[in-house]
Amino acid sequence: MPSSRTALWAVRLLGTISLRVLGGLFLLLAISILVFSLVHLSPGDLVTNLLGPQNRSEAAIAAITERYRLDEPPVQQYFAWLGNVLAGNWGTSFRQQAPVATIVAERSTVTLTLVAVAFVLALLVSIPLGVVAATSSGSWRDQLASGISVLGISAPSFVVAFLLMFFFVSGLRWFPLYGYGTGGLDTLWHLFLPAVALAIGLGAMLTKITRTVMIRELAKDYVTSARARGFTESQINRLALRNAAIPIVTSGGLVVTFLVAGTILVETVFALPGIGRLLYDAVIYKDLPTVQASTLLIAAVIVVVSIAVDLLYVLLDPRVRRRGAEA
Amino acid sequence: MITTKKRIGVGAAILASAGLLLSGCAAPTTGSDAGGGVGTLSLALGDSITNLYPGIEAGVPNYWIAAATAEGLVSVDPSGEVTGALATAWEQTDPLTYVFTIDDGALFQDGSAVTIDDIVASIEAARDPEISPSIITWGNVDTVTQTGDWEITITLLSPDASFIYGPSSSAGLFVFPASYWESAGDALGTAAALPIGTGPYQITGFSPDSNITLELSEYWDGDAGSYETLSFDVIPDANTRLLALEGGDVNLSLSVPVQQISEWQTNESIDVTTIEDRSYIGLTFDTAVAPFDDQNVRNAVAHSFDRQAVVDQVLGGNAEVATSLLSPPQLAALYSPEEAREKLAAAQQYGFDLDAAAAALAKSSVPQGFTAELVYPDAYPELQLSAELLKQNLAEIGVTLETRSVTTPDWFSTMGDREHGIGFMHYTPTTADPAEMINWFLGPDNLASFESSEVDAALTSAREADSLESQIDGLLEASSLQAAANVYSPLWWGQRAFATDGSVVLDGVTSFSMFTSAWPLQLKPAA
Amino acid sequence: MSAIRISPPARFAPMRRRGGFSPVIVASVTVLVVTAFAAIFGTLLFPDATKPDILNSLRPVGTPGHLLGTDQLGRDVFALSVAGTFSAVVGPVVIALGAAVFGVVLGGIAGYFGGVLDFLGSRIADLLLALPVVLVGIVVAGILGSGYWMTVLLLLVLFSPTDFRIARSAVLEQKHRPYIEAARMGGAGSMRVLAVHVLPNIMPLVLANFLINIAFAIVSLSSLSFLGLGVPDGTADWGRQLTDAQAVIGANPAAMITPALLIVLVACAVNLVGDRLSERAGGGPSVA
Repeated sequence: MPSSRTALWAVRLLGTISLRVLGGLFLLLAISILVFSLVHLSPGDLVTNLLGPQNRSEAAIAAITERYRLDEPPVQQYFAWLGNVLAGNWGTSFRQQAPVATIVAERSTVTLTLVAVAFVLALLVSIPLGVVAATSSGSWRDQLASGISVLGISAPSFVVAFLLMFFFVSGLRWFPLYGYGTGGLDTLWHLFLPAVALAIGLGAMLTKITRTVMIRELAKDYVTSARARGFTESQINRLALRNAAIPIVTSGGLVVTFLVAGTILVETVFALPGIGRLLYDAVIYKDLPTVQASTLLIAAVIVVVSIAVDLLYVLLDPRVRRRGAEA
Repeated sequence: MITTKKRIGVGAAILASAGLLLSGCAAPTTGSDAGGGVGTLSLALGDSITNLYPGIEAGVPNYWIAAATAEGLVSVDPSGEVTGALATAWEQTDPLTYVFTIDDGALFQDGSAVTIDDIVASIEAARDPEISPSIITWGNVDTVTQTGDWEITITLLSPDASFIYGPSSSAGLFVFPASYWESAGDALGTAAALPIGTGPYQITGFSPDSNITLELSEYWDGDAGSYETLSFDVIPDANTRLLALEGGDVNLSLSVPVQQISEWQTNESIDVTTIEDRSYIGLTFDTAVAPFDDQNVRNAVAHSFDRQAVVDQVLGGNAEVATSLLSPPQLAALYSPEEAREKLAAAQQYGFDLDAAAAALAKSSVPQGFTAELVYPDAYPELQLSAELLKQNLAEIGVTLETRSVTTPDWFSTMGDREHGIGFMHYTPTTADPAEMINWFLGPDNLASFESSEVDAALTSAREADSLESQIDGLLEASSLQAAANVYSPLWWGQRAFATDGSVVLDGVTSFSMFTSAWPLQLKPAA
Repeated sequence: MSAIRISPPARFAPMRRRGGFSPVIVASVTVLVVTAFAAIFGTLLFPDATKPDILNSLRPVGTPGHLLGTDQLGRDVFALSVAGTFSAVVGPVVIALGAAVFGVVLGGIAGYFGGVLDFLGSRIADLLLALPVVLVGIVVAGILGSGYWMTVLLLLVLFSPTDFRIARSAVLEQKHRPYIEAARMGGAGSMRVLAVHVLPNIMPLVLANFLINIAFAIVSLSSLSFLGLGVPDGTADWGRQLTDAQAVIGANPAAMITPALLIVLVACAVNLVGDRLSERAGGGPSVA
């Protein structure tokens, strides 16, 4: 009975989703506790950071201590923070003395744009490359594509960023040197080269994924029978690619952590005011509210993407759906 | 390189005596590619700025911006002498009482008149450690009262010759409207509440760690600025700054790493000017930490530092071997540079001499040598090199120095932690007050745990001095007493470099003006 | 750079099996052998490589006695690079080895016994896979202070989920096969079955992943060093050299270019050999 089967499947799916979301929330909570403890265990002194080494005035120290509740037990401090966050208040950055929510929102716009541009660039280049490699498996084209992807995976993004900088910016002067531009197209223009630096590692991985998945598809029975029925090679490739699309896109989605990790290196080289640099500075300064908000945002993005990817996989892949229903 | 800067450490001020004019390489004045024609000057900063109120973030660039946009009661003229700002006159009626007469015609950048309430509110904000944690100049102030329609009287707890430097925008007072202080709240100094001051330039745009835009205020009645708009870009990477300058994206870089000066100079399209900046770089010994409680140990270390080699090789000659906690420009009002150098060098010196170092160590409590840790901030490559060189030399007399790189905040927290017996100091005074640094170094609870009644007496006489001359005499005395005890070992007096693409000159910029006056007014298009 | 690696599912059909060695593989193996030699004997060959000589700093390429010049501390770039092989390579090898042992043991147990153990293990692996290595490195190393072995341990933990997944899925696939059932019937203990019968079957995959992990660890470690985390100052280390030399690239470009090339070269060689092993293991070209 297909309909009851589908209903059962939907219930199971909903259950899985809520479990995953719960798991994600639990993960975020665990991360916040971990970050809080790490910052508290670390050497260094927030009072000195805020006042500078020169200000030893008792009034100032007392004011800081009271304002940041430094004399309260750590557990109490944590719950005070958690309570505020649950009430929607992310607090004030120690370093910038500005609302954390505003800062993080601003910085993450830069990073998200960068990551999005990089992701699109990587997809645009790596999928054709991977398909070419797969269809001409073993040929010089395959070897070249594989060689490029090995190189791309092996080169740290900051090394790539420096190379791009020296060739295209200082040498050829094709691109702006630094900064984020004035919005719109100008911003895209400013972000293009950093996005390329970020996209190379990702693109290399996607090329490998595409090649692998395509080779697998091309070896399948339906391809053989399509060939037997006289389909042209390009028709066959299109058919295979359609079937390969799901694993390619879902694996691509999972690689988003790769992008998030690379962004700080690229932001540093290209002087982009993104979330990576914000986090780095905040860690150095022991700016707890900012560290918390940025790590949680990054973790949340990763959690959401991984749930979405799994969902996409379940929704789109008939085999998984069938298996889910039969189980 | 990511640094959190306090005033200590990062430094700049332009010195009067050094070559003032950046040689204008007849470049066309059509201005920058970045900004949009004449009227916009594009400047590069190396350090980030995250808050525009120096009471919250007191880095050197923060003071630059503040000096261009805000005023206090007083200011300092190009020779370093205190002059009026929002106060037209002031009088010290007794050692503890200062009466300021306020300008009744000043306007904020939004066109509103400056009232006495605005000034009082700004002073109260500066005195409040919660609002202004970084400001330290008001500790000795007892009362601040309005004593007339346009008169404010400030009384002190004890006589203090340094006080008069405090209520200026190079130290501890930034006058904004009373309504700004009320409404800004947590957003003080951020893009959501851009400060409104009385200076010639108004802050019109701020993106933390990225860009600050200043525009000439229509309500400024002093000398006119040559540039309608100043656009400051934060470019942390020095190589990128150099490229930006080469390509005309930036007209003036306010930050040139001292080690790279010669590299920048070899570039034909760039003019580099190096200027003494009154900064002090030295070693601090904590006399509460063994074995540095033994002067022989301190002497051995001081004799092991090859100051001339660092100045010549590491800093490319862009520095001067220091002989005192005071620097020659601070004595400029009284003595010629030669006289000043002679006076400063009269104190006990511990020049580079490994034999003397070995002899001192042999006489010490640890004749077989010892192990100590020296941390250096990662923001200063020259300090890393100095640490390594000192380590090399100390190894020869049997002392093991362990060197470690730390971030600037961690470096600050090692200062006076009573665990590190030896540490680096890098300090650039922002005010013209010759006592600014010494009061901290030799005052109560100082970094070196140094106590001496003679030094206290000298400092007190400087504080209670009624003239600059007697203030400086007291400071010289205190400085030479500490030199005899060798708790602070001066290494070099620093310089700061500025680089332009040839389109702009800093016309008549002096020692003190980068911090204490509206320095952007001195930026002129090259002829 | 990231912990995310999509491990080759065991159901992938074998791609192609070619005998012989291509010149690329020969070259890669040669690079690896030289690298291993330098890692072992580098510090013996150049005991003074990390010793600063400030007054002899930033000599250009071709200076007599300093083939590749000196860096800002006056250290010979060539000697320093050779000595730096140790920290550039040994850490990643330890990371990959540790991750393999850790992952295979836990993954094997999780796959074999299933149930709560499997559920917990898999969720923890998911969690770790979701953490971006460099960012975790920044937070942990930035807060706790940098230390080489500390960073290595951190990366080891973050790298093990891939091995966990490979081992788990391989065990899942194998455990119902007749020969395993037979061994179990024959009275062999679970651990014995795992070690004697299952492990050898997943070894090729684990080995291939081991090499790819090394490549990723090289890149990750150097990225952390670039941010000033990982190895303490003054250590001979390629990532560190690269960062330090960045400020003085104008004076001696070789000080920066040499370690950059070495990182890319060694990571490439490891990747290429890993890919080849992976293909031979029947997993198809691995998706690193």
